[in-house]
Amino acid sequence: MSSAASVEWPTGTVNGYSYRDIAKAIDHSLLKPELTEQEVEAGLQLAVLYDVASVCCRPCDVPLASRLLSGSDVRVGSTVGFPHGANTTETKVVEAVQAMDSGAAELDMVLNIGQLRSGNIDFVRSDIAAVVEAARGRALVKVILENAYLTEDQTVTASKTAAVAGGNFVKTSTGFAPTGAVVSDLILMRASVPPDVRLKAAGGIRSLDAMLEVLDVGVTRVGATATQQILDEFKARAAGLPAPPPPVEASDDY
Amino acid sequence: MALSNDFHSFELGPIDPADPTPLYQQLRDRLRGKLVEGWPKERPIPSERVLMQMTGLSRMTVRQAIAELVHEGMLRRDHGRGTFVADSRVMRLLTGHSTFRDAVQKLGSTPVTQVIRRERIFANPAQATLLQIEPGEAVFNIVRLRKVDGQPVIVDFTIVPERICPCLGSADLTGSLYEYLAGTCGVPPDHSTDTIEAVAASGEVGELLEVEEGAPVLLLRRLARSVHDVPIEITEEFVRSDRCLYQLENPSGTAGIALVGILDTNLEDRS
Repeated sequence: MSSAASVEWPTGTVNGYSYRDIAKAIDHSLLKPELTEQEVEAGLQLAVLYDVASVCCRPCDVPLASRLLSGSDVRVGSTVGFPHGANTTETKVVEAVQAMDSGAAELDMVLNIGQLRSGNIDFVRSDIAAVVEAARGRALVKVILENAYLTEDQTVTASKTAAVAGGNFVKTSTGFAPTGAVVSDLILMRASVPPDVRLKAAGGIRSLDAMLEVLDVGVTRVGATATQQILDEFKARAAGLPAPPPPVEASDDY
Repeated sequence: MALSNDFHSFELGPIDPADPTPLYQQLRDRLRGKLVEGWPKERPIPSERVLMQMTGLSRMTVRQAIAELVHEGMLRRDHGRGTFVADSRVMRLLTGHSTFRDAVQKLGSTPVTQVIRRERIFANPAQATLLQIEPGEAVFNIVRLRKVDGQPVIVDFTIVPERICPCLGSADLTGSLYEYLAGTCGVPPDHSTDTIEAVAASGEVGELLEVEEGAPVLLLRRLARSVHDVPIEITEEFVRSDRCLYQLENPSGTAGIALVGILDTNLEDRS
């Protein structure tokens, strides 16, 4: 696997952003349940080639990712309680520890959506806090709210709860719900958490313009499967060339 | 472990419903402050839709605020690509009753006033005539440099008769002179006649404002009087025209600046 030293960032800017600004704001997502080992490997190579911030992979793939990403500047991330958030707290903690023991430095966990919607905020908070505690000093924790199932008030409550529980990020979606990142939700999230809690937008970010729009409202990480399209579009625009054609197969999901 | 991936985000706080100022003006001022804070010139500002969502205001209100900033010259529309921070002047001062400090802070910037010189001199005949004092009477000559975010913007040359405010000799003049005159000396400047003209910067003015010899600057001349019509101060204010502009609100029935007359500068000793 090529090392960080051999990656050359394209020059040029788009809207004042450098290639590095955009690439290092992407968590390349390899979470679809049907991905084969070869497809995961190809995705890991793409992540290194494009020099993104991290890869978010399925728990079973963490050892593979750690191996193939070692020596690169791309971090290993995985998921906890994904995608439904309904696992017991104990299970989530075990998942977190296993991922970190295998090399993950970022954990995208789903909060307990049902408990949140039931108003059991104390439980939701302690569930998140348990994972945060297990990850202390070892990994960043991103708390997925899954806004598709929440009212605006619930998005606000969830954001605040995640912040109080010690989450490093609040994240809009798993990408597997009917809707993903929505600008109005992100604005609410940004207004509901302190400045040191960051925002991750995931679900439906398939173009450079979509990414630029969410960056404007305070997002600093984007979960994407369309990483190649986004960054190829960046390179073309930065060089003043027409955008590359979109992929023939435009899939609806994340 | 924190990865500081920090971009400029365009967060705007909620608009205060209790503030009687019209909503579009509040938004306009907030936007202006945000832009002065620093928004990359190559990046379009967020779309109307996003701004509506951020502030909870209607599309009409958002449009009006943006239109005013375009009119002011702070923003420019690049049709098809978006609305961008304009290249030219980013700093605006409003005339009226606000102090320099208030006007600058309203934009979210930091005002600093530096006293360059303060001396007790004797009024020359022209100064004495304007101030309605005896030629040769003692006056304070105060030179101050006003900076915004560390950059020179205005240099003031102010003359105040000693008899109006004897303690000016030792006063702290890094704040508002008017507030000092009103407060400590009990002589608030009440009304004034101001003229504005363009002049070429030279000598000390050019040096202090950090512009080239001959660069265009605005010169505001002011004669301010107390409520009883006693002259209190005369000031020559040299302003960097690339950093400031002056805006006047002409209230109902007075739209447009009236041309009162044309001064023949040969007739008058303006020094």
